[in-house]
Amino acid sequence: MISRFSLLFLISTLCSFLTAVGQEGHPMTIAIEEGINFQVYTLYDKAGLIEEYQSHLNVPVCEDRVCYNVKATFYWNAIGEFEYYKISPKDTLTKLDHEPFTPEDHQKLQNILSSQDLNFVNIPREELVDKSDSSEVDGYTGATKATVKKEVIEGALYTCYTLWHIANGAVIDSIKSNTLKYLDGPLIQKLIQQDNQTVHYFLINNLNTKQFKENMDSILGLMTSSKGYFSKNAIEKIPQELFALNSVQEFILANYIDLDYYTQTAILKKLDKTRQSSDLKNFILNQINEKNTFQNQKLIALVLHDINQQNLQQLLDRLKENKISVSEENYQAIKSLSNNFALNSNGLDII
Amino acid sequence: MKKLTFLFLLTLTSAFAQKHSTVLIEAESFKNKGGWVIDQQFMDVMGSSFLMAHGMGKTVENASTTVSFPSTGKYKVYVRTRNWSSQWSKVEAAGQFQLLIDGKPLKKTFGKDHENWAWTEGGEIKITKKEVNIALKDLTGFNGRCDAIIFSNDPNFKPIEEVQALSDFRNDYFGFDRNPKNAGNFDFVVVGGGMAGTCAAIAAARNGVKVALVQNRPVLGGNNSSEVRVHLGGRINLEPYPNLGNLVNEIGPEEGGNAQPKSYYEDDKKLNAVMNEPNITLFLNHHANQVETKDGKIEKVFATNIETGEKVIFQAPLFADCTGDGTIGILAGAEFMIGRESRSVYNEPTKGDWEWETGMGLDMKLDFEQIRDYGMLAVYSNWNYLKNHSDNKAKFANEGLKWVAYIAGKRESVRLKGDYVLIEQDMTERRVYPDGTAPTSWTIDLHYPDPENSKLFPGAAFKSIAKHIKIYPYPIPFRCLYSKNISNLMMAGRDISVSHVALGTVRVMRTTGMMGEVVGMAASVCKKENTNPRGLYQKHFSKLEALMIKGAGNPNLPYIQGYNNGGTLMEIKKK
Repeated sequence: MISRFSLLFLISTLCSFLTAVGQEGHPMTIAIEEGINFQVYTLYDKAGLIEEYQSHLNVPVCEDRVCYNVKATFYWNAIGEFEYYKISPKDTLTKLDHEPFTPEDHQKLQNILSSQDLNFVNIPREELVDKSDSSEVDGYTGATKATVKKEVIEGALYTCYTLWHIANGAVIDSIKSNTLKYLDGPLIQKLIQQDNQTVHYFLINNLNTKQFKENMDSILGLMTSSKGYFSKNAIEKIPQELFALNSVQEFILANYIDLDYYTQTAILKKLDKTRQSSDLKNFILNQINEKNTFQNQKLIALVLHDINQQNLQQLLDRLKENKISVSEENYQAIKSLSNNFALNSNGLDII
Repeated sequence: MKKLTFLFLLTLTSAFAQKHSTVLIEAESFKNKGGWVIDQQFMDVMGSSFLMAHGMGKTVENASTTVSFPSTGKYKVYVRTRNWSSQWSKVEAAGQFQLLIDGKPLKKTFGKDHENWAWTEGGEIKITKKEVNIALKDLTGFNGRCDAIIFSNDPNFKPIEEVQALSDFRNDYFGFDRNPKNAGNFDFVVVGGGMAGTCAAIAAARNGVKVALVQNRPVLGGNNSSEVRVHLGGRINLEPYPNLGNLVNEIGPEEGGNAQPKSYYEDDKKLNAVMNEPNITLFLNHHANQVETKDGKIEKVFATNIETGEKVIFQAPLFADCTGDGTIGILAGAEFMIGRESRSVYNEPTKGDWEWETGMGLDMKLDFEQIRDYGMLAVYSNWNYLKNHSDNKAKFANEGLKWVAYIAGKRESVRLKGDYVLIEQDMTERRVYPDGTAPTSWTIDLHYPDPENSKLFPGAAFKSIAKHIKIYPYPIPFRCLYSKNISNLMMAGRDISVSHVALGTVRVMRTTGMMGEVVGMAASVCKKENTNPRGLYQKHFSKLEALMIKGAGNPNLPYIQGYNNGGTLMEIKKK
């Protein structure tokens, strides 16, 4: 009777701090080791869209020969990135010799669980400690490898190791596939609004042509504020057929100059064999100049696609006036098109 | 009358020659080296490679050889050696040894007299037969060293001390310089067989280039060889050229860790990869030390065999300096940079995990032997403290040193100047250039002398601290990979054209390996288009781009480079 009461009490406290979110549906079960698994629940916002994922853990951890059960609640975002954990005051985490975690230890654990740059997590569990050394250095039966020691909380090696693999193991794929199942217009928009480039990568890696098309403006909008190689990757992921859309071509006209070289190159590749608006054709023509030696040949090849007589004449004038050399391949194409339009292609420099 | 004088003169010289002879023996040419190792690292400064008793405290086996004397009789003995530890301690020389003649030691003990390289007089001995066995007997196990031995029965003979004159004497004695051999016909000569040079040679060879790979050690791998034991660092298979690094994955060791057992570094894997390329001719144990240029172009590189002292000539239209020290560039008169730039030079915000390192603030070339020796001294002294004086010495009673490197692992020495010098802001502000090549991903990782340790050992700190700044993978401009003023010289490795701060990210070996891949590909473009590296940049970069997209390594091998990748700002793919 008492235990049932306390359970009810726990559930009601849980509900009280989930004011903005609710929990529905069946949990996912994630197996970690033989016989040990944990349940992951989906939490929703007021609009009924996925907010995050949660799990109440109760898993055994052994530090050397001393074992205890870790009780903690873990949270992941919609794409399975570990966010944070909570511990009830009575279930405190302990280190070797039952010493409780200090606030600094908790901060370090939080950093460990959210880091992808650690070496020790890739080492098999049985190799973390150098068994050949019989001396009792820092309390283990073997010495913790020096590289490992730097990364973990002293006296809590296996707690760090076990919890990292729970936070960053199979659960990620399960969360991703669950979110994908519910990936509709409003959820896509919600994820686009989040200030998290990994979430944006998740979108461009998973959207289908229809979803890309429906959300094109906001995805293109992400590119102008993105960092690293996101914009290049976004261009590469957008299906080629969508590059014929006016909205995409207008975006290119407005932003091409400000995008980095590799995004520009990706755009030129995608435009290959795509119908170009006359504005875009003129724009590409104008990009051909003596300073742009790295892109000129690609630009020339693009302009030649579906070119009319007037544009070809412009191209020829531009190449001759600015003394821009052309590759053998482009030269042949220009020559045969010039013949078709009865234009004079003599006097071009070949690289 | 004339004839008579001539005859008279002739008799006199021949009598003189019979009477007085001087025999020179290079220690590194000893037939049986026993437990002694060849050390060539300082030959540019002190003139030769030498034998060293690197026993980590246990005496090593004798090195021995047979010497032929032109005549029996009394000879004076000279041994070129030094007392390497005397600059830090006057108590007792760390590296002492004896010279045995047919098994009998000379009275004199060597390695204890003078701080710098010089000839120690060993007294007079009587040679009773023309073939004599001589041997070096190590007495201490702590890096006694012997460069050469001279026997002379000429009363006027004085051994030469000045390094250049001594070098001429050696060459004349062995008759080397007069007829150096031509090494063969090559399109591309790569000097330096670390990760960068090895990858450059293989990438070039796989793209149809005939390559000579010249390495001054008996193994390939440089800092990643079992002689130095630094693990690979950084990431491969990155944007914007995901196939760069396939070769690093192909030849790089499967296991990570610094100063681990020898087998971790898989020297043979690198060697076999090179041996499997019919387009590569490998020259191990060859130290390149002379360059001839004409009109700002390298025509010949000379290299000395570190065991025999013999010289060979390399001629080719194109060279790569993968020595890490800019050795070839400097000899050719290439512009170079050294040390930390003051902030005003590039306006970089940052001034410039091995915890133990020495040489901070010293000259990596001229003071190199001192830097290496101080590193060893620090290791031995601390080990001595742990084992004999510390509170828990009982714990170490039955322990011994398994391995201490004698080939020094350098982080930084000289950077050659290219058409562009990469700086910190290029990476932190992501100024990406169209001629980007191998992406660097390691944090801008700078090491400083540890303040505490510096207080205890002013000017001689042996511990360092590191500072890290994360970046997005940044493609190194091709213009950083060829010399500004030597038109046929490229570089890959830690001697490329970067500022001291920018070197903090590009110097790790997966990155230098990828630079090698690029330089090897560039060599093939230069060959096909009959141009030089700058011509490639100006006119044919798209050809290099195509090769970088394709990669030079086997793309189907399992990815085994998951250790010591370092943090970056990019989205990380989980393997």
